[in-house]
Amino acid sequence: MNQLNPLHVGALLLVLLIFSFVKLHEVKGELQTVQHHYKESEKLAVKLKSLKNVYANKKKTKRSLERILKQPSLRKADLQVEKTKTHIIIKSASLHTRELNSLMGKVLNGNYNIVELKIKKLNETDASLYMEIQW
Amino acid sequence: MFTKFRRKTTTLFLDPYMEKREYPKDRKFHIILSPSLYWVKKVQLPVKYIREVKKLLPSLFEDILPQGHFSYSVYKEGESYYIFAYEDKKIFDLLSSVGIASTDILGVYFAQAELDMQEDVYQINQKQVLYKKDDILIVAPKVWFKEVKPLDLSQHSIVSSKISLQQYGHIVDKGSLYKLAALVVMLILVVGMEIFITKAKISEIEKLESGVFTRYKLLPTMMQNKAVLAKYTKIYQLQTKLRAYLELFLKMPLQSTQKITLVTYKNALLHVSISNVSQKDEKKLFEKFVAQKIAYKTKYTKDGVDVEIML
Repeated sequence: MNQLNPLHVGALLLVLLIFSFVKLHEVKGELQTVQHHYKESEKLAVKLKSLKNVYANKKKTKRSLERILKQPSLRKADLQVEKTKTHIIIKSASLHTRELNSLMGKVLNGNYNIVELKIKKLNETDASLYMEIQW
Repeated sequence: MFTKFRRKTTTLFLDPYMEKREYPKDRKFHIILSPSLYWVKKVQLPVKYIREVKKLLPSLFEDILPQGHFSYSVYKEGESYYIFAYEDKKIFDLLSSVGIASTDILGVYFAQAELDMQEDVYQINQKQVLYKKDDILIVAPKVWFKEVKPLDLSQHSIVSSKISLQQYGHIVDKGSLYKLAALVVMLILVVGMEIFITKAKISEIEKLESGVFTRYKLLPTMMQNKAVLAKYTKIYQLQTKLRAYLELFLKMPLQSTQKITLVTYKNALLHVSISNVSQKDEKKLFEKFVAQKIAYKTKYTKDGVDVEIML
């Protein structure tokens, strides 16, 4: 006729209840962390995609630069174009300022990664150019 | 080969005035309660089943019971119901005072149900006897009777059903305890469900995150991806600054004699040479650089000024 003390049963249930609340608190915290991590990953992914699309899209950069160089205003310009695996170099020993303005206007308005630039005024109408763009 | 150990059993008449004595440790007890330990009524009720009577028991004793925590019991004999009220704690306290542990008790029975006494009068302690009047066993002073017999239970066999004593009934009301326990259990279940749902959500979000990595072709770790992002962010910032600073130079309020003669950019260093500029022109020419807090260095030569800006 040994019976359980109801206070012991009550205490056990209370401990179980407290334990379940603590566990719930832990799991909720974990959920917040996971949500935060997910949002961060998504934000990073979108940002990275757009930046890569601008600065790491060789095909796109090549196509748009070729389009610029084929412009009527630059058709007669004495431009030398060298392409490597990672860079494109556009240079000219002497370029009319009109052609230089046309070229630089388009390059600076585009999203190109210019890693080196040298423009030297030769006289009132001409300048030399060296421009290295990374793709 | 194997001998089964069986503990000896004793049938004991439990009375508040019983003589105290030592019991062997290996003994188990059937306890027969003295009428001094319960209230009994023989009633006839217009109900068919004992379970219906059980609901009525507290109200049937309402007018005679003192203040306390009572348990109730009933059994049927013929057309009559014998109804009982007893205090669990009082019985346990008495058992404890005579040295019987609750673990050693095999069963507890009412003397009313257990002893078939007819006309006999039995002595239960030095001053009191037990006898039957109008089918009810009662305790009376010994002096009322001339002839009394000693109550010998050594050959007694248990005939009635045992009653269940609520060891802790006086601490918490059974009904309230069940309700409270049910409430707590419900709460635990609700919290458990919430934990389950939250874990499912976590798993779902982890899947979505894994999908982001696949969809955007990210590198395996966030550290690697952050490093790549930092690299491209730096490129973006440098290119934005280069264009903004070149625009500032091109919009400089230069005089007709002042010309930009050289522009170079490499390793984040922008160098611009302007001809025919003296130190006294600096404030006017670099007004916008100062306003935008752009750090620049100037070096004046006989041809003009060389300006350097670290992007």
